[in-house]
Amino acid sequence: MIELRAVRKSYGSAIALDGLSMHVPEKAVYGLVGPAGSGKSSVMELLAGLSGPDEGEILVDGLREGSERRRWKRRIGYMPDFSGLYPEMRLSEYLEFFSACYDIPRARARQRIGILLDQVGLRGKEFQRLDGLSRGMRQKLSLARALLHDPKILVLDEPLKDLDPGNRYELRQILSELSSEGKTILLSSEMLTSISEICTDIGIIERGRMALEGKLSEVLRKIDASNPILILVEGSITKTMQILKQDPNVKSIGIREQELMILYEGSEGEEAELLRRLVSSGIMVRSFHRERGNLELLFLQLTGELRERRITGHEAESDLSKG
Amino acid sequence: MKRNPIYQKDELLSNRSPILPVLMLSTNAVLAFLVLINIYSVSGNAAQTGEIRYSAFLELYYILLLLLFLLILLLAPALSAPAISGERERKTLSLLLSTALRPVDIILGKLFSVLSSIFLLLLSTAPILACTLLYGGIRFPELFLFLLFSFLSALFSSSLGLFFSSAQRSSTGAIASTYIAEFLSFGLMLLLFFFLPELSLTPLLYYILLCLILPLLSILFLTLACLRLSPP
Repeated sequence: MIELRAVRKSYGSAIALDGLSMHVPEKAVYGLVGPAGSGKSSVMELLAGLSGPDEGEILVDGLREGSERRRWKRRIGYMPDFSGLYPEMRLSEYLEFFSACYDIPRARARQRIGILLDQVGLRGKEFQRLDGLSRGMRQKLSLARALLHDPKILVLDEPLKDLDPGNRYELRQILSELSSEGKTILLSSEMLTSISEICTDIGIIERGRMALEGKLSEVLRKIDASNPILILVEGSITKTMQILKQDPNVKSIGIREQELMILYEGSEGEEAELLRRLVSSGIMVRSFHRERGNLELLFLQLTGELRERRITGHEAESDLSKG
Repeated sequence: MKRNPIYQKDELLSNRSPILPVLMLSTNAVLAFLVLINIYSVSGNAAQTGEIRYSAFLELYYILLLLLFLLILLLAPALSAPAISGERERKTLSLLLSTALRPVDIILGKLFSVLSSIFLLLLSTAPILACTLLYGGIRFPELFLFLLFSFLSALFSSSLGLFFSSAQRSSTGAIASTYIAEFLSFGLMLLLFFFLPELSLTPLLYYILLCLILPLLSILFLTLACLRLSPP
């Protein structure tokens, strides 16, 4: 449904997208995740038709970016990460205005607005001025605006940002409903946990490139095999650190008080041997287990933040050795 | 004929703002004051000397036209320069560009909105302006020529405003740039007027030339504004 092929985009000397390739299947709920500055909003703006790529190709529902831009825009409902409003307008007037921007006849627009207000939970607020809306209501209004022309694809830039848990839950429910209606949804977020519950597909973007992409179930299956081992010990962890550093299968160590989190690339037998070495060295091991599939950790690994944690762990170790 | 949604929206918001009514009130108050002072002076003079100075009404007519023209030059940039940059500041411009609207629809909608406000203001001064016609001496073709030139000047100033508005991020910068460009443009036109004999042009010919050049320049700046809004 959405295809980006080796897309490059720069803003002056800053490279936002560096040969990004991405595929969003039809009717998927695709979560595009990445740290701040990774290029998520640039992808959203390209898909919304607000700018064009410097290199590469973008296809939306078979339409090519550039030559078929007007038809393309009618297939996409765009919700940016800010709510652009006219404070003096009323809610219904705002939606009627944007309906007119899509050439929707007035009678049909009013009917559609009624349905959408019910769907997003804003029924009864038609005559409220926009400057009196809460953050949650603005997000719902923004979503309703993106749905006015009944697009096949929704491009939502950080839809759950700055929302309280209640509103986040409501919005997730609405997105699930829209997905069950057959819409293809692409949403970006820095908050992995909140969107992973509704996503069918996931893409992790870092520094303008796709670090990992695929069906959520497949991605979780992959990381199950590479998730960390958590070791909880009693007493000084210096000796534990020495034993761990001697093991070539230990790729990185993270420390949080008495708990160590290690990335371990070895067989189950080698894991058992490591545990045996720890216990036989007199270390009081309270817990030794492999963590379940953790998207957060995968994200940290892929975006390089776990490497930073590893450095922090070694610094902690050197502090311990001084002590 | 389909109405431009940008124009409709701007008219709706303009009707809710007190700016235009206050402007109309103050403009007409000033003009009415001038007319009343003039009529009082003429009738006072007639009561004392028995002489009615009809040229006073003609002078008043030219003063009022000059004031109206200056008002247009002041108002058009103030209304047009924040048009696009204001949408950008409110973060609504990208929403508009993501819809099925083309850049030309947005620009033309803004232009019509600005010109209709100016037209409404001019129309509101018609009764006061009509007072100067009471005693005759003013021909309708002259009035028509003035209105035509005023319209073309408003169009040109608005186009300048929309161009700078689309090119600059802030409304303040756009307004300042528009006033400077407008001052230079009309200053040049005025300067050329004093050199007409050297240019072998009569005033009528110069007027016709301006009536041709102003729309062309307006189209140029509107086109540039549309290009600025088009996705790179």
